Amino acid sequence: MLGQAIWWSGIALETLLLIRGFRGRLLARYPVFYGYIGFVLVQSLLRFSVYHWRPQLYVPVYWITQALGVLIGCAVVFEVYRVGLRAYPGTARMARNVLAFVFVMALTKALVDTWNNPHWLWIVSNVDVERALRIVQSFAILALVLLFLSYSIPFGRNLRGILLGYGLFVAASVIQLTFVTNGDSRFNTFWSYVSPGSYFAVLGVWAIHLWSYRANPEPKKSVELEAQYQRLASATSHRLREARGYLAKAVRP
Amino acid sequence: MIGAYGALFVGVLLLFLILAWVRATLGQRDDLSDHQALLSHELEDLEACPQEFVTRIFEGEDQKFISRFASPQLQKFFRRERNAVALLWVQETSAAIRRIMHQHLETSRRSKDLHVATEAKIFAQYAQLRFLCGILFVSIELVGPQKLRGMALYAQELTQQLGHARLELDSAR
Repeated sequence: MLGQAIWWSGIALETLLLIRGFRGRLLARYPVFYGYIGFVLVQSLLRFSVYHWRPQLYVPVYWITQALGVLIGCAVVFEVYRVGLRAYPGTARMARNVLAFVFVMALTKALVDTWNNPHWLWIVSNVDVERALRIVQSFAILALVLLFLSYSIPFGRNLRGILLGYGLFVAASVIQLTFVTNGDSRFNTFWSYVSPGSYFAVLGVWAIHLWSYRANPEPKKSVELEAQYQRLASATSHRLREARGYLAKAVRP
Repeated sequence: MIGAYGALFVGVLLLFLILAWVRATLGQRDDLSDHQALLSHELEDLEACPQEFVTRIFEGEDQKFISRFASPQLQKFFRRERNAVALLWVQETSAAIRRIMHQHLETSRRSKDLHVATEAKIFAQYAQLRFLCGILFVSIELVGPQKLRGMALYAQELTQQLGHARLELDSAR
């Protein structure tokens, strides 16, 4: 009963998010994110219909839509990167390199696993695959958030809400899928409430942050720094070396 | 694939990092620091405490003077005060280093020709300095500033002895 209530409330919140996005002209600014919300709404209704009228098709429909959801989720992360770092080409360049590193590491790990056990792809369950994909997504979000933090990238209310909600959703999914794959049935009932409950909370975060359009803060100064980067880098390096000398002088015999 | 504990760690880490990021961005203002100040190599942050004072904190001269009074209470008080001053100095220096890095990041984030290798090198320099500050902090807490200088002297003597021994060994071959 409680599960049903959370599920229907989630559908209502997704519809509300889409309506607010359309009215506040947010749809055009964050098309991938609203595409994701639209997809989740259609997915929920499709699964519900299949479950009631074609139950034999439920499992394949569930996994196909789930895989599509993970892929569109990756595009949401890419949209956050694209919009958030539009005014910061330096950080965007770092982010591209860091994300490429994360994906190369994930690919290498998958190739090594396949090399060590060529049949692993046939042995692992869909849940294992989803968990692996969510972990890669987690690493990508972790890397991006660390860059945003280090470079003090200012975020507007809308974009902050999108990343906060999606980050919380991915983190909760990884934790939940880990407990599910460990096969401890004691947690199954617990997660059957926590999982839709946490997603409902995420929808709430999105609804609050995306109620109306708030512009992303732009840098105030438009100083051309391109030619000065090398000077800037060597100045910082010089200052850090001086700091090291200053520290060492204190204890140097 | 990544193990259950690894996956749990990643999930929880992401949860905390996202919350820390939101907390940091809520109080954030986009006040870009003047990059001209960074380019001019200003070191007023680091030079807030003159070098003579810093050297004096770590030297054993004052301790020798205090020990002449043969008052354990006075010595204890002196040690406590000196530790506090030394720790404050390390904290201030660490904060100045953080400010240098913060200024660099704030300015370089808009540079189109940012070099990833140069950024990584600067970050490594910064991490090394912060680590050094951490080591200094712990060492001062453990042995006090004067003994720290004594340890540095001892380490230098040992290094010189090792150098001599290696030279002797090389000439004997």
